Amino acid sequence: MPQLALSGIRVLDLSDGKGAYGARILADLGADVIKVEPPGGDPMRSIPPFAGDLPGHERSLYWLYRNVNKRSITLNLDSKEGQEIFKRLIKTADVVVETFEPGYMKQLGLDYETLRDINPRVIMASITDFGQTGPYSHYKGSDIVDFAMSGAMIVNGTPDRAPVNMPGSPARDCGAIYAMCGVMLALYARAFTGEGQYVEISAQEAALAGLFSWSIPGYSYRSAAGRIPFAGPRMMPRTGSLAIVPCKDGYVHWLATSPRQFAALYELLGNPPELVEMGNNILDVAPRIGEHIEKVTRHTMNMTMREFFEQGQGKFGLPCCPVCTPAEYIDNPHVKARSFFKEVEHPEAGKGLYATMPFKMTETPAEVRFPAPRLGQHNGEIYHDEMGFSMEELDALRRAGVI
Amino acid sequence: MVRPVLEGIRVLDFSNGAALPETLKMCGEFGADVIEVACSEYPEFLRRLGIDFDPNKSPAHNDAFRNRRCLGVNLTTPEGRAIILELIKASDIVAESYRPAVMVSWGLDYDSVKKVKPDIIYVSSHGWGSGGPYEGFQTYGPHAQHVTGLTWLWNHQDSPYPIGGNLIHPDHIASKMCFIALLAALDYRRRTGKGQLIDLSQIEVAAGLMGEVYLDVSMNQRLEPPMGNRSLYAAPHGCYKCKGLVNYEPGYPHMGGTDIRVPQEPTEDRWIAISVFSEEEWEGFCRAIGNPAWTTNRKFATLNQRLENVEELDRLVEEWTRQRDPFEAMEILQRAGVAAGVVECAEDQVNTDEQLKHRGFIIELDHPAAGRHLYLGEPIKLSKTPALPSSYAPLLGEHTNEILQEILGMSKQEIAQLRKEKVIE
Repeated sequence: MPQLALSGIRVLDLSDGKGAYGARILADLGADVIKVEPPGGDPMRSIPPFAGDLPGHERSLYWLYRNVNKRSITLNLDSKEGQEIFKRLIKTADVVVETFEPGYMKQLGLDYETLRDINPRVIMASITDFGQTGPYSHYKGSDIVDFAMSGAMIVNGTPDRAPVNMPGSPARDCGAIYAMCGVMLALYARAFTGEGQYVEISAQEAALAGLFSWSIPGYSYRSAAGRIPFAGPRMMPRTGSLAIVPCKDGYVHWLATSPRQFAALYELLGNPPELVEMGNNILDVAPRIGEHIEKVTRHTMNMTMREFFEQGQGKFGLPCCPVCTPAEYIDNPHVKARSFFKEVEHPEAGKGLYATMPFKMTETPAEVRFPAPRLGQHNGEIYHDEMGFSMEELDALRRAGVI
Repeated sequence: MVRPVLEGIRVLDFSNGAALPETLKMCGEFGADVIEVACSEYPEFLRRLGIDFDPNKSPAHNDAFRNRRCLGVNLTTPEGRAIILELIKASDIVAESYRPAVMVSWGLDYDSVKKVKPDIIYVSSHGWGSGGPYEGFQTYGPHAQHVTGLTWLWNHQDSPYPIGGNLIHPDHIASKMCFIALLAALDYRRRTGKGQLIDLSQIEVAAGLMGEVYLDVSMNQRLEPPMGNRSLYAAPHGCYKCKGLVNYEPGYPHMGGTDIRVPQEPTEDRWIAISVFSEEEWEGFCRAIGNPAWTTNRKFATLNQRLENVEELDRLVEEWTRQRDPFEAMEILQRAGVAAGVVECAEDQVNTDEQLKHRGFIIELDHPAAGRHLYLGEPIKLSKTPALPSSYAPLLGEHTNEILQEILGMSKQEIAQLRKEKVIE
C-alpha cells in the first residue's frame, strides 16, 4: 500500500496566487493543507473565467485548480479573536505559507518570531513580489508585472510588437514553487535539528531563476565576447518560437544541433539534396539558419503534424513535435496513458479534468484526492471537532465576523 | 557552523540540459556531494551552446552545472561501468536524463541499479515521461510549450499564427518541481529506509502551470483565444511603449513561419507592464498620470466600460508612458499604488534594478576556462540552514583523481592505469 510522502504534515495556507500552487503541491504529496480564508472568501475565488460562466465563490477555474486537496476554514486575522484562534492553530501546524505585504504579519502580531515562540518546530514561508526588504519591497505586483520584472518577458513575441505576457501565473508560480523547495529543505533539516525556520522568497528572483536562469550568464558571456548580448541592452531576440514552421494541417517544430539530429531531419524529409548540401554540423548551419529553415518548410508543407511528429520521432529519432491546442493536449495518447489528467467532481462547479503533479513516485505517489473546498467548508471539522468550540461559540464568532 | 541540510547525501549525476542539472545545482548548494559523470566522447548537450561554439564557454552549461564535482569516465567501456557500479553503492541518489535506451544499454537503469543499492532514489527526467506511446521521444524545452497548448495561447490577440515564447521555462521550472519530489523521497527514505523511482515529465510541468485552461476546456467545452497582454478582469492591463524605444519598426519582417532573422542594428527596447484591477487602483492610476481630461470620460468609468473600450484606453495610456523612461514611470505609478513594472532586460537587472542590487541576487564567479562572469544567486533564503556559496561548474574530469581515491580507495597506480586505458579522464 503506497503511503503519502507528507502525511501527518499540517500546512496553514494564508496565501493568494503567489503561494496557491505551491501549497497545492504539498497537498498532493499528502499534507493536510488548511486554506485560511477571510470570511468574505479568498480573492482568488473571483478570478474569471468561471465554471459554466456563472460567477460565484465556488466556480472560479483558477481557484478550483490551485486549491484541490485543501480544506477551508474562514478566519478574520484582522480581529483580536481571529489572531488568538490562529495562535492556537499554530500549535498544530508544521508549515505556514503567507503572501501578505512585508510587515503585515508583524502588524497582526503573527510574525515568524512570535509563531516560533508558540511552536519552535513551525516553518514559515513568506512570499512577496519583490522581497521582504529593499527599495521595491512595497511595490505592488501582479502576474504581468512580476513576469515583466523577472526579465523573462522581453524576449517573447516578435520584434515588431510588444513583448507578450505568458498565460497563467508563471512568475508567481515560480515564487510558490521555490517557496516549497525551501519548505521541503526546512522539513528535512527539522528531522535532524528539531527546529523550524523561516523561508523567504521574492517572486521576482524566483521567476528570474525559474523562467530564464540563463539570461544573466548569457548576457555576461556574450558581452565579454563582444557579441550582441542575448536579451541584452539593445537587442530583442523576440524572433518567435524557435522555428515553428507550417505544415499541411498546422504547425510543427524540430530542434537539431548534433550531426545525428541533422541526419534524422534530412532522412525524415527524404534527403532533399538542397538540405543535405548544407551539412550536419551546427557550425556550418548556424550562419545560414534562416535559409535552412526556409528549405525545411518547403518539405513540411507536404506532411501532416502527426506524420512529421510520429515518423520524425518514432522512425528517425528527431527531436520534434506538433504545435497543439490545449484541447488536443488533453486528447494526446501519451498524456492519457500516464493518466495525467484526473476527473474530479466538485459539488457546485461540476466535473472537470485536473492536471496532476508532473512526476510519478513509485512509493509515495502524489495524487488529486478531492476538489477545492467550499468557503468555510471545514469550519465544523476544525473549530468544533478538533478545537472543541461549541456550536454556540461558533455562532457568536460568526456573528462577530471572526469566522 | 550549521550543518548544511543535505550534508552526507551523495548524488551521481547523469543529467543533460537544464531540468535535472538545475535540480542537482540546488542539491549541491544545500550541501549534497553531487558528482557529474561526464565523458568527452559524448559531451553534455549544453556544451554545444558555447559562445562561438567553445564547449568551455557555454553560459548555460556553466550555470546549470555549478556546485558539483566532475568525474571523467567513459561509460561505453565495461571498466568504466564497473567503477560507476562501485560508486553507486556509496551514493544515495542517481539522476539521469539520457534517452531511456542509453541507461539500459549501460546497465544503469533503475532495476539494475536497485540490485546493487536497494534503497537508491533514482530520478529519471524525460520530456514526455515514461509509460506511454511517446516514451523515449527526445524532447527539449520548447517542445513542452508547443504540445501543451501554451504556444497556441501565448500570442497577441490578432496574431496570425502561433508565435509563443523564446523561453525554455518548462525545463527550468521542472528542476524545482523535481527538487520537491526528491526531498519528499529523501524524507521518506529517512523514515522507512526505502528508496524509490521518480519519473519526471517536463511537458507535464508546463501543463501544470496552466491547469485552469484545461478546466475551461473540460468544464466549459471552450477554447479561449489568446489574450495577449490583456486580462479578463483588469484594464488597463498591458505592456506599453516608453521613452527610449528607438529603431522600432512596426511590420519588421518577422518569421512568417520561416524567417528568424534578428535585427543587427542596436535597438533600445523600452516597455512597462501595468495592471489595474480595482477601482482604487484606477483612481490611483488617473492621479499618477495627472488626471488628464480623458480619464473622466464615461467610457472609462467602470471596469466593464474600460474593458469594452480597451483599445482606445491602451492608446491613451501609451501616450503617457511613451514620454517617460520605464523606471521613472514605474516609480510614479507605484507611488500611487498601481502595479507597474519595467519589462526588464538583462542589462537592467545587472545595472539598474535597485531591488536585485539591494538583495545581492546577481553574483560573480570565476570559472577556470571561461573567466569571471555573472550568475544568479539562490532564491531560497533559509534563516537557519542557508545555501552555501555557489561554486563554478567543474571542468571535465577535474575531480576524477580525488573521487576515485577518496570514495573507492584506488591507488595512484590503479588510476594511472585506467587513465592510460582511456577508461577515465
